[in-house]
Amino acid sequence: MYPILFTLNGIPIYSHGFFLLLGLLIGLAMLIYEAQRRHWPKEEVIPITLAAFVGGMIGARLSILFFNGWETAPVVLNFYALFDPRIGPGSILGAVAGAYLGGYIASRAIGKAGCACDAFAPAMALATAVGRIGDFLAAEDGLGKATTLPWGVPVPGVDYLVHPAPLYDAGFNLLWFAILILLRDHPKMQDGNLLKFGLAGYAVFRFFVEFVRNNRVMALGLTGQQFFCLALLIGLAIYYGRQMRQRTAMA
Amino acid sequence: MNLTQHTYTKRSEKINDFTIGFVIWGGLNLMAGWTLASTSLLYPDLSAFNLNAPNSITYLIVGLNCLILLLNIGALIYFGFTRYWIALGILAAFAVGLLMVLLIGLMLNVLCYVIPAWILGKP
Repeated sequence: MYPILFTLNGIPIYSHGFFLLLGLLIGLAMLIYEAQRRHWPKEEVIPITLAAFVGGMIGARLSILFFNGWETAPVVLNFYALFDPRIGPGSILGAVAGAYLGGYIASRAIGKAGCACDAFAPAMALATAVGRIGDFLAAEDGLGKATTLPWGVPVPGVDYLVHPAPLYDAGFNLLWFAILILLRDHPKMQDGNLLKFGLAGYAVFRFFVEFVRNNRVMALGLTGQQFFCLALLIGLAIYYGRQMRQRTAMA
Repeated sequence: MNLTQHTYTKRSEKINDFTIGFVIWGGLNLMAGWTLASTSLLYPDLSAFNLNAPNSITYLIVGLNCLILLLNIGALIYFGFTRYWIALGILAAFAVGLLMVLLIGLMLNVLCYVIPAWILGKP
């Protein structure tokens, strides 16, 4: 593992922070490119992106209360701890929910008709893929559960190999990014559908990868992250079910 | 509650509102954050959480933290629907703060929430 990626004039540059920032910057560049391609005006892009970023950071932190329990309340509920660089940003699932909510509220506040949020879908997948490399190099959360599979990796402090779960995540997101790019101009993948499809795909993947991660089991042998993914998938199924019913009624 | 968006007629009005959000709201948060951090340094007992045996101070501090969090989110939403440029200023202040955190985070090893397997000492 390489928690310190390199040193710059004697100052250590940590893998976790480096790839987190790199992921966000690459995601932002992808978002700007997509927004321009979709002729999304900057008067809408700027407030929605800002709200999504701030909402994402708050959501990432708050979701920890659900995933890791009441013990985290003093840190998670402390608004100013959000600005403490020694504390990890939190959960990507919470970040996605917070970003979605923040972006939604901002778009309602500026009176935007329709949804241009599809520009976020490939950017989010790419940013996650890059960020996960940092998680792997920093051996975050002990990477994963013990395995005897040939691609198991050693982590400091234990004498067994573990699943390189962040690399599974990075690999999936890279593949998912390519799929979302291929689908982005499909007529059925407009008006928010590409983002919902992107989120659903990640939720399915994340549900299964949680079985090899070290997250806290909440109930029924499932982690909070798995319950979150299930809730998201059920929510999307209800949304599309209602859409289909409305379309059938209109036809 | 009837939330009506203020109509901006002049550019100076937008700049004023943005400044209120960015400087005043951001500054108030900076002061409050600094005060709370200093208090917890001066009076460590006040920030010593024992969630296995919570007492009234634990609840008071967690409650205060919750209130500040809700106030900030509430203000953002309220101004978003009434005076858009104030909300944009607040958002920009938060975004600048968070970006600085990410930059400083390059040089620090972050503490995560999940206890690593090697600390637990089991597969």
